[in-house]
Amino acid sequence: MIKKTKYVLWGFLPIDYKATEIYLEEMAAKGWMLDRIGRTFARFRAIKPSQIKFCVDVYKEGGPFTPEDTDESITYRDLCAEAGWSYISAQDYLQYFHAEVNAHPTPLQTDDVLEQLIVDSTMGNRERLALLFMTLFSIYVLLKIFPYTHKNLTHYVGVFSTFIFPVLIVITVLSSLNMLRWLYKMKRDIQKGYPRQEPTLKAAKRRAYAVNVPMIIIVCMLIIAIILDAIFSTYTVGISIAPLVIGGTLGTVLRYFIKKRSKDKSQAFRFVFVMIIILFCVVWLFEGWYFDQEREAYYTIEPIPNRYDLLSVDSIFEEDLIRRTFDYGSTPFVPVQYTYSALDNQSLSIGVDYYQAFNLKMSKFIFESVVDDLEHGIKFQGMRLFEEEMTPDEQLKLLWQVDALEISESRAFIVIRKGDVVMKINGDIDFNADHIIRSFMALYRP
Amino acid sequence: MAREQLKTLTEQMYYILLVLIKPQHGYGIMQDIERMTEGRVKVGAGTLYSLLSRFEEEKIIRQVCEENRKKIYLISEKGLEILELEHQRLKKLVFDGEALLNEERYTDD
Repeated sequence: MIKKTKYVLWGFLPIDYKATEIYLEEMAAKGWMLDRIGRTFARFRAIKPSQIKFCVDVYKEGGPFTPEDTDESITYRDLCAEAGWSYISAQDYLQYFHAEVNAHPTPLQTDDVLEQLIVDSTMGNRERLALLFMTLFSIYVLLKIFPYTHKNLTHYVGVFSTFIFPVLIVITVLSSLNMLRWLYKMKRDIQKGYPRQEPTLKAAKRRAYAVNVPMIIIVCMLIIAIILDAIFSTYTVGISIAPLVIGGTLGTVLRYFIKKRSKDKSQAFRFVFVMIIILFCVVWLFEGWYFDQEREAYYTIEPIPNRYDLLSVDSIFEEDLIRRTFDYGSTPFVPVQYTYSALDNQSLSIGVDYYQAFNLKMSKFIFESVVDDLEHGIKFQGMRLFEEEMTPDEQLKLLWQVDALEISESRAFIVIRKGDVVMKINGDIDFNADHIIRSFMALYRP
Repeated sequence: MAREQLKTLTEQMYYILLVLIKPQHGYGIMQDIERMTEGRVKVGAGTLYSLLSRFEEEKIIRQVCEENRKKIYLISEKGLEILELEHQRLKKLVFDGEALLNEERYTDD
């Protein structure tokens, strides 16, 4: 069956619009005519291979928040049609037209200086701001990754952000800086009155790859990492990505209403206002639902999968359990890991974080990081809460027969390392008692 | 900035204002200019659209009516002043040119 339409990933920078004319002409010569252009994809329909002339024009009244078909833009397209250019599609500031190659219509822009001023005041500014924002945001994300903690290794998103993210971010920052340099040079040239050099298709493609490839890799790897994490912690991952999904959906709906359903800017602003109200309602409903779930889940005893035997810890409780949570996961660096916490009706609580690292060096790193984490407590509104003073205890180490042990001054927490296994244990219990030691060491799986 | 630039008109601006001494719509302006200059000056639809919006913003032209979705424009008093000034400037350029070009040419002999 012959394909009638095809979608092409549209990664060209808007500022390279002149080069896209050549691309569209090449596509038409291959038998694909531009049908519709979107933010990410362009739709082409099959035609008889033909020589078609394309013109991409900058329409200064356009933009991301401007409806596609305003009275003004229709008047402008009518004028272009009278001049021999048939309208195809629009994307923000750019309007796409075509003409028969033998018709020789007058180009849509016949004043280079005016065109350059419009380009610079519309897309130039926008592009510079977007690249500047991307650069600063990437640097911020990069700085937030360091210092690495054991938490980076316990889920796939963390592993990905530890090992691949920095490389991709450095590439993104470098390509954004290079692009910014190019855009500022172009602005200076316009101010000096030099004619703007029309971008070649090759250069435009190079810029498109430089911006899009790292971004596509980041997004794909992030999606894979989220899916892998969701295999173990579906609920937690679902809750974490819910704001993104809600925001993305509302944003897409809003864009549709602005672009396709508005006739002028004031109507578009009304849609934005309505969407803000909807957003507040959705957040309010989601928050209510989330806290209800948490409240209901508080007094539940979560099941423990068979392969994680925690009966020895359950047996420490003399009274009935009223709450038990269990989360687990696996990554190549920490193949076995889980978090257990339980509470009985006499308010005795016990918690265990178990990490089995893939080698000894990694387990030492996890041990140091867990101890460090306890020492630093939780950061809340500029303050540090629940800080613990951790010290090694040689006597306890001998008693527990482990390679490393540190205990908090409050004696509520101990962290032990034996071989490649690290455990953080907390509870109102006597860490010197034989039965307690046996109960926890029963978890140890070398 | 834009006002400053309009102290001297580009060739295309000059012809657009000249055509708008009589009411005319966008495509009519393009055709009139091409006819008047025998095809020497061509104004693209995009350029014309931008210039008409800018002229209207600066009250150099005004919209007089709309027929079949086509806006009909006419030059304003302010526009006429600018056009006349430009006309005077161009006449001076021609006059100066003629004065010098008609003089006896200097030769090495």
